[in-house]
Amino acid sequence: MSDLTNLTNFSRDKKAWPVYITIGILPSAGRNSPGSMAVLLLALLPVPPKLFKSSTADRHQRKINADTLQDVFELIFTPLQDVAHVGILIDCADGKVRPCFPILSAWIADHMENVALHGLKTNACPKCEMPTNELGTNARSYRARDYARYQRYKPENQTSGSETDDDHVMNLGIGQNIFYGLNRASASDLYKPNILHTIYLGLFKHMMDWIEAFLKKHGRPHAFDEVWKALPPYPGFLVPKKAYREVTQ
Amino acid sequence: MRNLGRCILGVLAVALRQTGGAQAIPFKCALRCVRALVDCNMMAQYPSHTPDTIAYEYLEKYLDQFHRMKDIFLEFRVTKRTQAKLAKQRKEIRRQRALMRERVATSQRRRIHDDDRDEEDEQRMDMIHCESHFNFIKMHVLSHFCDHIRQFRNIPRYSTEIGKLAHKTQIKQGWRQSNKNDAVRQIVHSYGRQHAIRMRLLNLQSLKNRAADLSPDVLKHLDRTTSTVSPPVICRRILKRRRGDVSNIVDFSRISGVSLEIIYRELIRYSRHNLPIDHGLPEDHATLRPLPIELLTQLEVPVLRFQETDVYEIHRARSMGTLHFRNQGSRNDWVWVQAGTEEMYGALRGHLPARLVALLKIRDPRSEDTVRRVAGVQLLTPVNSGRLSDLHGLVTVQMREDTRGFTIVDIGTILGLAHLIPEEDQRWLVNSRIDLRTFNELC
Repeated sequence: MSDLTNLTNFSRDKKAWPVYITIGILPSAGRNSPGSMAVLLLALLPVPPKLFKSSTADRHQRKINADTLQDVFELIFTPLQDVAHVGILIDCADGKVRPCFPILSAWIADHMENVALHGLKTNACPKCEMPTNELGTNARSYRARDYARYQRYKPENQTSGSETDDDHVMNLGIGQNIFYGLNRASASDLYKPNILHTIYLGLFKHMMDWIEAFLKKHGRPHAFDEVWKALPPYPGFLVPKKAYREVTQ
Repeated sequence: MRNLGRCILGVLAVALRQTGGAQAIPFKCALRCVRALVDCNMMAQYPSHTPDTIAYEYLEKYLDQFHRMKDIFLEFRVTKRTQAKLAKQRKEIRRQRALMRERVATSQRRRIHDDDRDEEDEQRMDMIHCESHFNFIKMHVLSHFCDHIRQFRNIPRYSTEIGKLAHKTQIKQGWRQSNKNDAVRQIVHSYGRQHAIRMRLLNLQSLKNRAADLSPDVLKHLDRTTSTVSPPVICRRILKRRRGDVSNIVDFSRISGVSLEIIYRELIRYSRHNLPIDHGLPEDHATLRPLPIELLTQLEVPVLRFQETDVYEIHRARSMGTLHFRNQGSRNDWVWVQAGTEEMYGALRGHLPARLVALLKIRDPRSEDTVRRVAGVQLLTPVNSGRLSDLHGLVTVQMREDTRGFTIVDIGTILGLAHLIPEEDQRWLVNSRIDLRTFNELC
């Protein structure tokens, strides 16, 4: 899993871009408790300098960034490559030693990370080829992304223009994907849904904006606030003391 | 935001009650939309999915519902560009009108003005509906949740929260401890050391738990560093915090404000229904009166965590009477009481919410000093025989209309805390989205 984070605010704008590693057989309750030491820092990625809107120099810089990222991830994934085929003896918690075949099975990250690592456009779904102007509909008819096909596609070969397949890929605007060429891992399965960003910080937040506007339009914001403040306590539920509008979100 | 998902539906349902006329339809759509989204969220949180529950089918259903209903909020997704366009359009219309309307009588002017305004609004709404959209990525990503559950099962294990947590201990602490010069290397090393020591301690601890022989130094160190062992899980209800000012029924009646007659009547009823005949409480008031009584303010109820068989959460129900709780008003909590069989009370399935009025220990000196542990509660009854409302999918409950405002029940029938949202006087909504267990039982 990877996530960009800020180290300092206001002074020198330091950022870190860590990559963590964990194993998939742990129950989620155990992994999510901080005392269990289940998540390990694997690497700190180089943070690229901030880019402004496209100019020729920036395009060059962008290419350098992508290449660097690709190289670093190659370095990270090298130990995994052989092991996935040959296997390795691992000491298990019950004291036995078993031959294991560790593979990369999931990449836990928020949307922006996924997009950066898969080399997609910002508002493209990593799972299927849904066009931007239909994201809000409930259509499910678009075909899943076939990263193996993207990998075969090379922009330099684009001379004749006869192959419609390549045209299709080019229109999608795919960049470099760091997960290409990884043994026994399929890039489209690495993408995992993410409750925190999609629902809590995503749709709920949007929904609250809509609800506030809706209440305002129909003249009920005070009724809403009153009920909000009068909620009874419940285990694990923090009782709000202020109205929703008064809290800085 | 997590808290918000648990209560928003109920709060909105109360805020949008008593509708009439033109508002009824938009309110209905808004409630249905929010309900579908909240239910989606609940379904996505299930820790395990079995073929029986087929939660992803529900998830798909709720998602479809949400997409059908979301248009009610479309007008609030207006971008700045659309707003500019709207302003331009309005200006254009007004200019045209000013040209047309030169010679109109004053009497007609008002009527025409109203008509114009209606027309303007209509055009504005049309424009908004054409221009606004829900095309953002989070809207779409949700539709992959169902496929994901079908293929890889539960979702919470892939949450990014654990990564955010690791930032603090592994990155930010390391950054602070470094001398900011070639910090990356120092960050990586500093956590490595901590991790090695912590792993060693965990290993030693597990060796100790298996009674391997360790040197006394190690044992001493382990005792000092590891936190106290969590107490064994007690699966029974515990009464706590005795109040010193109550010793018999008369005192209790004075403090709680319930008349003596009612207390006697309920005690006798309780004794007849719940206790074996030869160990029942005395049935005449004169013997009941001097029975030693303790009044307590806290009841701890162990509640099985959702989809677990041996992990309990402790619900602490309080009945403070008029005393203050942490200097902030009194607390007389809502609890679930097992009041009937599965088929009763519609969606509530034989459970009734009740206000905890008093927690009592009654000592009966006649039958070997047995202690009866009972609770005085104020039972509510479901409105509309406990059916879920088709609007917001919650059950409404209200105060009983008959005289039995005070009932005595065994504390064994108290199942845990309930979350009720006050609607209007003497009516409440049962918030079934407060946690997964309630959600699973009530919906």
